[in-house]
Amino acid sequence: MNNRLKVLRAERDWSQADLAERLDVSRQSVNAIETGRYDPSLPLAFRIARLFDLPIEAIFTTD
Amino acid sequence: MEIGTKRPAMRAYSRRVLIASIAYALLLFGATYALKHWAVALPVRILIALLPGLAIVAIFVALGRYLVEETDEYLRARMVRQMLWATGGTLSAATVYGFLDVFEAAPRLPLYSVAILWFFCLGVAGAVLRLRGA
Repeated sequence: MNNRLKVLRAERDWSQADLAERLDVSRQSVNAIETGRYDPSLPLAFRIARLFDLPIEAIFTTD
Repeated sequence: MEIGTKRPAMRAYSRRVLIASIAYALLLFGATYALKHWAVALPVRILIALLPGLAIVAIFVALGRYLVEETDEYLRARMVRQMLWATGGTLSAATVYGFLDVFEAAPRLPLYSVAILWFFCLGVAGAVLRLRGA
């Protein structure tokens, strides 16, 4: 899957650590999701969508 | 292991492993000294001999508790992957070595070597996965 996490993070001038803290995950998790090495679970995807106030489909897209 | 060293679950894991490791060292030294210098009945010998192994079991328990307590799903998945590689590597090596032992092509090793091998494979798996960016 692809995602716009890095773009959305940059729009808010958040570092990976900032985003990780807001999501209560590790910075490694944020990095892994942004680089496509890890696809988040549904609950985490919903938390990300809620944080950015966007629908999941606006953040995550299939290949 | 460099995974989430500041996270509560990892801090708890590190603390438990440290305690178990110290207990193992003390129990191993104690058991070796006691069984070398004291004449004890077999049931007591068995009890004393069990203790160092139980300390190692405590490390396995600590790993299991880490998997339960870690709330970060990516870190949890990475540790599971590490443990799978370690288990596969250990089972493979132990199986092959077992046949070497049976056909007297290699010296017999104590069974606790399996635990040592598993921890070694866990470390190697962690390093390899990190290098591969997993």
